Amino acid sequence: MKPPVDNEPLDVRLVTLALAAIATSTTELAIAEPGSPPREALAIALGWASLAAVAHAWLGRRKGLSNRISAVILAAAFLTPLAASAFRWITMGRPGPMELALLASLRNLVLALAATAHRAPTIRLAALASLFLVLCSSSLVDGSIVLGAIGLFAVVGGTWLALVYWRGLRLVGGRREIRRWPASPMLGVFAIVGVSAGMVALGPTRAAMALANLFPSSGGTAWDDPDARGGVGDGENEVKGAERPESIGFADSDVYLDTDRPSLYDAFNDMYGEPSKPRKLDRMIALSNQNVAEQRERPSENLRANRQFSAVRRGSKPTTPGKPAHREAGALLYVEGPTPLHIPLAAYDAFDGREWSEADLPRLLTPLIPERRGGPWFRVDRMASKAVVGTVAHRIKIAGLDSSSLPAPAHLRAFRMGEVDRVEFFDWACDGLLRMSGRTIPSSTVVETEAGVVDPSALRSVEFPALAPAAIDPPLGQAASTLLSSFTWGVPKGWGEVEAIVEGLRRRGVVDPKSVAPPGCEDVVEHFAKTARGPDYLFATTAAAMLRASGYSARLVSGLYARPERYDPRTRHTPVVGGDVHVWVEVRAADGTWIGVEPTPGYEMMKPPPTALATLRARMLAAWRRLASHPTACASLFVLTLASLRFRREAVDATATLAWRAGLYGSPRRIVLSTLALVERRARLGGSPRPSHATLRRWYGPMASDGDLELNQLLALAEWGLYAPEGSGPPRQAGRSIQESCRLVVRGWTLGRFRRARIVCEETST
Amino acid sequence: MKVASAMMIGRPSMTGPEGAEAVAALRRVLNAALRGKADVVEMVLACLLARGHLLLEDMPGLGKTTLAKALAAAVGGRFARVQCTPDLLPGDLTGFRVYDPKSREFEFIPGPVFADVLLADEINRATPRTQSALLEAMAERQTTVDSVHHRLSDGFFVIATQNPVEQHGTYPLPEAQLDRFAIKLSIGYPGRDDERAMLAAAVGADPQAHEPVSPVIAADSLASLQASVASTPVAPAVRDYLVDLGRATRSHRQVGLGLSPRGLLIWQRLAQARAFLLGRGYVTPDDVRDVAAPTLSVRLGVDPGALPGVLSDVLAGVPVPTFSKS
Repeated sequence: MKPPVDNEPLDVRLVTLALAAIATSTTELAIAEPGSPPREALAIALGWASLAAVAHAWLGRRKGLSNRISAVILAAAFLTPLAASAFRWITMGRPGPMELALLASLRNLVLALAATAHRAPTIRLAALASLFLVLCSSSLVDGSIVLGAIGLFAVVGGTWLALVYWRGLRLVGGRREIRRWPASPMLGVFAIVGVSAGMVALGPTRAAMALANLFPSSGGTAWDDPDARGGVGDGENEVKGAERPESIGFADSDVYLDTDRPSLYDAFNDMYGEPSKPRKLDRMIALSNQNVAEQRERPSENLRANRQFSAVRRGSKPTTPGKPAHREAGALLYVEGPTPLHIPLAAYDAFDGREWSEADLPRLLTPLIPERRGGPWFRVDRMASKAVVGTVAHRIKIAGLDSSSLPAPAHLRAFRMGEVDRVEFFDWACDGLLRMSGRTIPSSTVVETEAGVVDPSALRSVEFPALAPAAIDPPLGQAASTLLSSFTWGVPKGWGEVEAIVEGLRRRGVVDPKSVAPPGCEDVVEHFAKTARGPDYLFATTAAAMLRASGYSARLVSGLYARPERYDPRTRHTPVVGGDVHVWVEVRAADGTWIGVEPTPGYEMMKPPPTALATLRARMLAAWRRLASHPTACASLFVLTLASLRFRREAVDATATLAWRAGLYGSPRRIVLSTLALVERRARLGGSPRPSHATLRRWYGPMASDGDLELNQLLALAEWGLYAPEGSGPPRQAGRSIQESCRLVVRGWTLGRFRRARIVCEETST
Repeated sequence: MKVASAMMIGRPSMTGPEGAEAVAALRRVLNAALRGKADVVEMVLACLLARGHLLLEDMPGLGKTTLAKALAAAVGGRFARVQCTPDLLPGDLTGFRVYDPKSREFEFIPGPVFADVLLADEINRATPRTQSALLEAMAERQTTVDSVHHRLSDGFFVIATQNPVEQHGTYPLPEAQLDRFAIKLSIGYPGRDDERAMLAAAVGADPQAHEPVSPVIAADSLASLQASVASTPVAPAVRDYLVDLGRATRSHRQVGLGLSPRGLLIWQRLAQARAFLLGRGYVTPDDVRDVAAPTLSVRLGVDPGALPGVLSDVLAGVPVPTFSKS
């Protein structure tokens, strides 16, 4: 029978559940992937809170949840995220961010406490844990939603305190106060306080402004602190930091600075080597004086970088033996969001056998529509393709890259760049690629993007028109034509043929950055068809040339590739370094959408996020493979685990019995009590634990009712040991010594006997 | 502690074989008078040894008077019986003063309360004024008539009865007065075998003849036994257990009036008596629980139908001291 402790009033429990729900919301906001809409996190939090409320109602009907069950629920809730993290570590090799697992554990603990909070101690613990969780999680999240959540928590927490105090009052007669608590005045007071706090925090005058002279700020007020990171104005140190962006890290800043950062052109040269220009012997002719004067003037510079991309390069410079290797340069970009990610920066659609020329502006420019949703966004008003599904969000932070091209994924749907809210700042570099007008994107700029993802399964139904090859393209050489025929033999036109070409190159080619085309090579496609080795731009060039020769509209795209392997769990970013410059191919579908294809082995296009079922299946498969690779160890571990589970009670009992035997000395009272402790432990292990409210004789007496003298004697001895005054002698033991009686009980009342003797104790003496 | 308690009572204690024999004799007599009710007899004995008073609440004809008479005869004291009615006056219980023409003085005529064992039958039919007079005598073992105090017998023991079914025209005892009784018992109907044995014994017997009961213990010996009970040691852990139980009665939602400190004292004394009756020299939590029901039923302000549930809740809600408090 459970201890008859009254449940706390319903309103106290409901407010406690509300506190837990708010704490869960802030936690979900902290756990959510950066860039994901807050409504998803709030919906998840609502689901968790509803689950806790349902569990609370269900447990409440059971009238008295035992402490043991409560402890099991709390422990399971707390440990599940940690176990999931461990499982992920085993199956995927990465445990994931530890702080997120801990946050999830804390969230589960709070929810479990709220679900089991029917009595005063649990309710107080749940409220305290909710407060701790809100403070922890809100420190990890920015935004007005969190401020609102904290304000709401303050209001509900105040209500909780008032309710708990009110419900704890008792009348003189000892009965609980049954009058209704003054709900309206109290809620009114808390609403006024909450609205005031909300106005201060979220209203036209922000908290920092309202409290300008109450807290030190970064400057501009009477009380400023040079080291403050926020405040009314820009303090001295903050201004100094802003002048040197690298000193303050990445921020949403509109400070535009010119730096000596590497451009994309530099990055390509570092990666692939400089373009190899064939020496040409030109005949010199004399010019007229007028022309000579013009030539002496400094020619106008061509500031438009990367207008051409040469497929004949010198290769990257080998490191000098004996010298220490170069340290890896700092990142060009940091990507926050799903990877792998191709970031196109330039596209080339004309090829002469050696060099690609940059694509021209499209005839029809896709308009950019300004939008206001927590900042200035621009929507790319493009017709949706049925092959592009879903939406992935990224935050791309410009670090060392010096380029005017907007670093954004393909199939861009919307983007935001700091506080830039004028469309005139952007224009189209070519079809599908945006750039800043007339300037490069400054460092420290954060570009937020929302883009679609190509669904490979939907591409079969998309039309890819195969027209006659472009006349300006050089024809494929013999080896390349043979290779193309081998790839496309028997494959119908359309996406299937595109896929066959790309897959053929991936299957046949070997990525070798050193295997570049010779300087005098005039047909790099033919060269690659013969060698099947080379850097990624040769794969891409060959693929594009073969696709174009097959009649498809294809272009070469250069840009950056965010590798999943580079993901840093600590910072939750994927750095893109100079070694991640990449070249790939895009094929144009009938609806005008450029579909990226990846002909280079080792690179993957982004896939749509898998369904939960597919993810589960993949992880189970991975776990199974890992287990199957170590069959002996796994089988041994499994058997050991089963055996330890099956015989855990016996093991504990054997250990306790050994300890009892070792301690069988000292005063008779000590011996009796240690024997009693062993018997009680055996009863617990045997499934008949004595409840705390049952006396020894009422619990064990019925077990000894079959004339078991030893147990009866032990009970008499135990009562003497526990309750008799000092100096009184033990009860008579039928001629046996106390040690002998204790040994007889320990021998007679084994674990198995307690299992067989499971009985229901008479609960009370009434 | 033992010596101090004995000195406090002012009587030498009686322990060991002598005490056990006296208890056995008392038990034998009461069991013979009240057949098949050994548990009731044990509680009556515990109440007697704890120097408490007994309230029997049961139907007519179940042996309440027989038990009282046998007890009075066994302890060798005077027995008096009062049938309480609404017109019973306090003086009818305590006694009164009458004018003696010869000596030209008022002479005190003692009432039934000056007996050693008093059976107050259907006490709830007496008026509150009369009940108060009796309850004062029970609490203080003295009575006051015309401003003159009169000491009662040291072994003054009251057995009061009340009928639970006929409530019309009764004056239910208030909680404050119920607290003067140590325990409340219901004798209950005997078992089938006991009733058959009773009928068999009655065949051929003279209905008017009563089997005489010889005193088995002197009044002084009873006082010594009571002193022995009072000196039975109670471990601190068991005392804590009692305190926790008492506090649990006060915080139970269905209990309007919890256990008073006086009730707690009586409970401990009854537990001591219980241990003494079992021949044990110390009190265990089992002793406390054994006497819990009759002790609490007389003094908890609770609906009679809810009493078993309340007792169960109270006992189940307080951990028994074992290792932690030993």
